[in-house]
Amino acid sequence: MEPMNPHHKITFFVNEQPVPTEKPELTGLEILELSHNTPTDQFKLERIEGDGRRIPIPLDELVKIHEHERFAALFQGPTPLS
Amino acid sequence: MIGIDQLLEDFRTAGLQPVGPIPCGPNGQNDFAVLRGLHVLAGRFSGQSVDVALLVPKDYPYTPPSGLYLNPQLLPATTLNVHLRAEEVAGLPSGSWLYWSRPIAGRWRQENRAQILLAHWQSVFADEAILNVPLSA
Repeated sequence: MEPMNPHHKITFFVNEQPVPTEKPELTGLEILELSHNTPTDQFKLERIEGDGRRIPIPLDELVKIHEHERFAALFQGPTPLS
Repeated sequence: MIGIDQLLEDFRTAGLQPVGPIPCGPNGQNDFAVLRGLHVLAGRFSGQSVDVALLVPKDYPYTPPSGLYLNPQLLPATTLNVHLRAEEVAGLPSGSWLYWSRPIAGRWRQENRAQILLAHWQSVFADEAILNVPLSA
């Protein structure tokens, strides 16, 4: 098996925004930072599966990143009403 | 830069393709911007595409947009602070626009403004409070 090209670029999506990376694994925290959803302590991260299921990603968890994978960065807490 | 020009620039810098400025209201005094085809990621309406319109304050980004105007109607008017504001949106592309009163105020910052708005909207759609709202008034 050929070794993985360390400079292979992967593009994943956070809130439908493309995010490129060369790292095959990222923590939830890094995903939020790379997608400019900061300060990270205000957000929670979910992976959106092909069938629409939402998988919570703890910010300290290291996850494998797949091409075109989709995540949602959502604000913590209830949505304010006015 | 200030007002709707800045908001349009913020979206374009983030790779989005906003439509605007669109003058609306009885005297065309309301500056609107529209993002078409936003994909809802989570919650009751996940998988649907919606158009989002924003009434942009004259002093944006110092003042953020208030709530969001959605087409098509996902929830009936008068439920959970969802309102028909026909006069205010007169001038928007044809559709069935309803105002969702979901202020971003406490979440607003001056950095990465387009990303903040996108995260706010997805958080609105993911809100569990809308799960049990009847879809007919």
